[in-house]
Amino acid sequence: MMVKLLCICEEITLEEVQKVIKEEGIKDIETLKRRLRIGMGPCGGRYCINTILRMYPQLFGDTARGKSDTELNVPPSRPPLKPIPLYTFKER
Amino acid sequence: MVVKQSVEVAIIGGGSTGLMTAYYLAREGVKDIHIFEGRYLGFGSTGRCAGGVRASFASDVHVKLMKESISRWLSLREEISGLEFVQDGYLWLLTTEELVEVHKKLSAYQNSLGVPTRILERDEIRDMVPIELNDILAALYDPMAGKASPLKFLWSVRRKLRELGVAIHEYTPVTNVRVSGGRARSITINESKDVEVGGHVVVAAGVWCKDILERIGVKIPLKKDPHHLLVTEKYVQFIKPLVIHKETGSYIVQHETGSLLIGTEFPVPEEDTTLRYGYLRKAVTIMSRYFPQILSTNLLRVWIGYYEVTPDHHPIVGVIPHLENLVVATGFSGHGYMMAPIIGEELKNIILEGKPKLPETRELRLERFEEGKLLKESAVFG
Ligand SMILES: Cc1cc2nc3c(=O)[nH]c(=O)nc-3n(C[C@H](O)[C@H](O)[C@H](O)COP(=O)(O)OP(=O)(O)OC[C@H]3O[C@@H](n4cnc5c(N)ncnc54)[C@H](O)[C@@H]3O)c2cc1C
Repeated sequence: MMVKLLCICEEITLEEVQKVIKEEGIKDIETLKRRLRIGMGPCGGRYCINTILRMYPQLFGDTARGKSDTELNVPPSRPPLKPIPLYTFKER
Repeated sequence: MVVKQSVEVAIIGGGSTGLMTAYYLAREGVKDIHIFEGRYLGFGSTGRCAGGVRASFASDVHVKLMKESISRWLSLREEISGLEFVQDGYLWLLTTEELVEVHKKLSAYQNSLGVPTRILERDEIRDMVPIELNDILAALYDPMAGKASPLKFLWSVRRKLRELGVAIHEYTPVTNVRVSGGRARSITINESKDVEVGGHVVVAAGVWCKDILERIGVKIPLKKDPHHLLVTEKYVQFIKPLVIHKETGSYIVQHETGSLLIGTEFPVPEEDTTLRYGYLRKAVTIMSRYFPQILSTNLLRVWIGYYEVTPDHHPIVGVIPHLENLVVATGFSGHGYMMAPIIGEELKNIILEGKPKLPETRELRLERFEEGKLLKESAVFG
């Protein structure tokens, strides 16, 4: 069977996402993110959160069209843009 | 979810305090409990905290309440599927003779209250964690302490509360509380709808308790104290206890996912949540002195959350004077998450029995500030 990965960093499948949304009554991306760690891996949500936005109607049964990031509760981007090794910050 | 015209218990705030209050009430069979959360569960300090849990404090109130809370954490992990609490201890690294002396006394004091902390010599420290000892002279080890992933806490408790029939209204800010005749009568949600409250209103809104209460003329001495935290990419499991560098208030903890959380004292103004490069430099420089392994791992994210600070660094818990059914719980400094189980249970006792069970909780009354009876604590750190 083909597995559809929705979040590559945390290896979360589309099926798992649909399951927790349904069973746990999740209605927003922020809660979904904290539930399955989607968007919390090295990509910083660059891939998975966009996929979720594209699939919004399918996942949440509601349309995303014409709504702002705030209305959709799109998680804010947090620095750094890309993971950086900790040694970058060490005082020498 | 459409909110009804009237509810029995209204809890304002979906952080650890509000969630645990709802849990202990529901477990006791109370019906019609509603949590109102302005954003999503964990938006406040709870979703931004490090998840450390300890009883090694320097005041009777904190030590005794935290001993009780830890016994609740141990039961909660049985009662709530998915909730994690790992009793891997706390290790306080001591780098000056003075600190060692103070912590010897502290350990004796904690032992006298039944918290089995002990002083470790250098080689005992090395047996416990893979560390470069450098200037470390000794450490205080607290075997009763541990860690509980805040994210797992949030979703597992959310799921449990739904099972128990608690209504959770997310994205539903409470914009007013109406009081008359010495009682809270109703709350206003989304600036438009009034919901009557038959039983109690619990204000568990973290640093925002101050704003909510000020609207009804109640002043509480509460300040926001912003603290940074960073998380790294997953790293091989290598460090079990939460480790604190006492002299600088820096700490590191590795949760089950493998990610490392590193914090440090880095004071910034009350309302300023700009992320500071200086914090990253300080946190990484100090921690890598003892754990150089971490330098090769990647910084994933950094954020700021608030400690909720009162003048005596002890929480405010109890009924608001002259408002018999309005209860507040906040002011936990950097310890509100670990205290949430015992505070939630005590709020349940206040609501159902009219008073908390433990004498220590009674000392947390708001009135103490006006009466000038401040409590004492010396071990608040980053
Ligand atoms: C970086 C950092 C590290 C920390 N580490 C630890 C630690 O290791 N161990 C520990 O025990 N503690 C730690 N703390 C402290 C701990 O996070 C807090 O003390 C605790 O989470 C407070 O929980 P709370 O439920 O009282 O408040 P919060 O978690 O802040 O919850 C309050 C909620 O109320 C909501 N709210 C606000 N106003 C309204 C309104 N008008 N209507 C509806 N909802 C509203 C908010 O959105 C928020 O979700 C740390 C804190 C920080 C910042």
